[in-house]
Amino acid sequence: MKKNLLISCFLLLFLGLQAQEADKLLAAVKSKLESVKDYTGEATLSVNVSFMNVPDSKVKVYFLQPDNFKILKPDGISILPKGGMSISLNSLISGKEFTAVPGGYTSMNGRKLAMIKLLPINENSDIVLSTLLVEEKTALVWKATTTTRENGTYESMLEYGRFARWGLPDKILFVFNTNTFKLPKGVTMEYEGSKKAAASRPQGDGKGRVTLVYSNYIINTGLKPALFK
Amino acid sequence: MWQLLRIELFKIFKRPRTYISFAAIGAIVALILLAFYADGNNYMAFGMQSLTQSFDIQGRVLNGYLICFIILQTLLIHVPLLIALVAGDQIAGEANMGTLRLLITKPVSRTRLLLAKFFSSAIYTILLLCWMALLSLVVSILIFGTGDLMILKSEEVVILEKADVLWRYFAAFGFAAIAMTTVAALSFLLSVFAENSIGPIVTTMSIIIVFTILTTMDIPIFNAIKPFLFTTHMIGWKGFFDAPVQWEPVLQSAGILLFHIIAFLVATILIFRKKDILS
Amino acid sequence: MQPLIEVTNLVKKFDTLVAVDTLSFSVYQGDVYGFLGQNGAGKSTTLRMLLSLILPSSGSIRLFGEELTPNHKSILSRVGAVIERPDLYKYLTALENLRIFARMSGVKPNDRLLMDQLEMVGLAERAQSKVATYSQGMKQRLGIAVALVHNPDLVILDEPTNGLDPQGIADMRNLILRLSREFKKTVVVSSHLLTEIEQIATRMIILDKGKKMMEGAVADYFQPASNKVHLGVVQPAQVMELLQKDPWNLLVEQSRDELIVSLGSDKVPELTRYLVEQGVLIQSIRSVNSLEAYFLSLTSGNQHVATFTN
Repeated sequence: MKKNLLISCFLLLFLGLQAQEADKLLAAVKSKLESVKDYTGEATLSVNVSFMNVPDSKVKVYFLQPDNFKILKPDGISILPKGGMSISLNSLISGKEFTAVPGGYTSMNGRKLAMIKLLPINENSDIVLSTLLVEEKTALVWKATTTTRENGTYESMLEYGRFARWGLPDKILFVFNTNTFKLPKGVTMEYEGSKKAAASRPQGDGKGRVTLVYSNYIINTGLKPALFK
Repeated sequence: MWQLLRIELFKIFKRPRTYISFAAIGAIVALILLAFYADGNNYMAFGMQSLTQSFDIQGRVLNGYLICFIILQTLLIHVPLLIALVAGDQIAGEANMGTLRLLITKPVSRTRLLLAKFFSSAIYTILLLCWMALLSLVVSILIFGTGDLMILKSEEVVILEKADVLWRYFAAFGFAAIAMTTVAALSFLLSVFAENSIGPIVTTMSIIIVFTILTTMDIPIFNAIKPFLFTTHMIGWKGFFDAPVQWEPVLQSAGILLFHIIAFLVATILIFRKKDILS
Repeated sequence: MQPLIEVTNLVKKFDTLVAVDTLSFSVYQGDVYGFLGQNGAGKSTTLRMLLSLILPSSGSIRLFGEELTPNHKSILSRVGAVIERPDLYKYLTALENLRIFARMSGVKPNDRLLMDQLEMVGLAERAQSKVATYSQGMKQRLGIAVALVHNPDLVILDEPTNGLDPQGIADMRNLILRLSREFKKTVVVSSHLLTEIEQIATRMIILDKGKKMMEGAVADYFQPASNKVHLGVVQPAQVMELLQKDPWNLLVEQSRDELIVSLGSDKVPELTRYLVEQGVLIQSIRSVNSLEAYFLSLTSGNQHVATFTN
């Protein structure tokens, strides 16, 4: 799979857009994202993982350039996949060294999107490949796919609305692999009634989904880095 | 009947052995609370190791609600011993002391006497659980505060909203009251056959231990009989910590336990009515 | 007069063992009725059946003119009992014990009345001590107080002197006599000792292996005229001959070294003087009640000590 991806990357390198154009588009995306130094977002977090039973909850999302990102549920517990940082596009794009490769155009929900593939320069990078689908006109990223060595593939689907001019989505759907994760077998006695109920639930497709629906952003208020410690 | 019940309760609460249970629960809960107070975060880090490898968990996982759950989980397995200590003594203990024959020569029907004795055991059981609830829930909350409750099960991780937790504890303690009353009814029944209280206490515990082993072992032959063991249903209180609560199995378990209580009690009465008091 | 207790053809079987075998007897108002028999003769089983502790295999028990089994509640409210050791709640005080059993007997406990009861059995000063600190005799007396707490018409005492020291036995005997004479209670009391029954009972029954051996007024059995005199002499054959002649003309049997003479105990001094005048060398002389003799003959067959001395 990875090999195939690589081969197709190389093919695209020669057949598709010029690399310069990809860099230009990426720069546009970057500059749009960099207009937001920090934000505090209010959002509803939904976690949909087959072995997790977590209610939707109101959370606060904190962001500070370049890649500080934190989701907090005030007075409660929030649980997110370790790669959750990738939800933030900034953390994906900013600061890291990679080669941008154009990948042609594709269409998603009737929207024409340019595909940019990001290949890390550092050979030891955990990220193998990232693919961004960008709307050229607005420089908004609608989808990001990241393949890692250790944790499989992450996908982020973004939807824009009220905060599009800041490059901030109204909704992010984050999809990640859960196949490799095993809950430890508990040593305590389990109630048979609960077991049956758990067994009757659909097993899922081995993927977990986390959705953030933002209700509001407060932008550039000067968040302190200490908040992310 | 009320008169008899008062007499039986008076007898129970005048005995030193009654307070062993309250002291034992107090000591265990105090120890668990102390341990969590001193070193709770390390314990949590260790307990959630497998989860934190792949997930980021934010917020105060270690709170009063979680500690109450841990206490219930560890303690409820041992409470039957404390219940049997009193319920198993109800008839056998009187036989051993020699007071049973005096009781029976009083103008009171044996059935009423047994009912009074059983209900006083049930009241003791419920008071013991209230004591446990007070210590494990109220004191934990006072020390550690409230918060969302995260429970690690073998099938899933459940997080319950803070506001959605307290009623589950009330329901769980209610269910535990039924489960422990089943234990009381069993030792009460065994108490009829013995002339000292050690027999019924040991037998009750043996039955519960054997049944629990059968319940815990995941062996196909045993799985088939699991639904018929009352111990399987005794941990039904955990069902209240599912989201959403699976009412059908939980209510069914409660029903099965109630059926056991009634069956044990009826058997006790039938046997005791025909019994020659030779002690 | 209608009997207070009327037992007809009472049988109790424990598996194959017949503990009580077609037993019939009656106890009348005002009796001190003695149950006499060895251990295992069926006394306790019978008394326990009277108190509905044990259910009869067959036969009928009527108390106060009513069949026991369906009416045991109303009947038992008129009965007080101490069965074997009067065990009470050791972790409670005498007063608390008394209060519990008063309530169970359907009496509203009044502390002054309860103290009176304790006074009667001589435990008033120890009313507030836990029973665990009591001596056996005190427990026994408290047991009586408990049995009397609801002012019953009939008092049933099973082996009340068991385990008591001589003083305790004497106290108990006096208490039973007071119950009968002063408080006009009908008392049923069991014992394996003839002397005890003899001293307190007006009527009695002797049981052996669950069967009634005899029943009647104690006074009849202790008629001096019906006694026998056991006589140990050096030359029994000559003495026997002497006694069968004038002036005594007695019925004499020989049993090993002793002569057994049917003679009232009131005649013993006269007989002794006569024998001495005749030059008979007397080794021993004792007057034996016929009932005692009978009772001994019942028990001797089963007692190892008796076989050994024979």
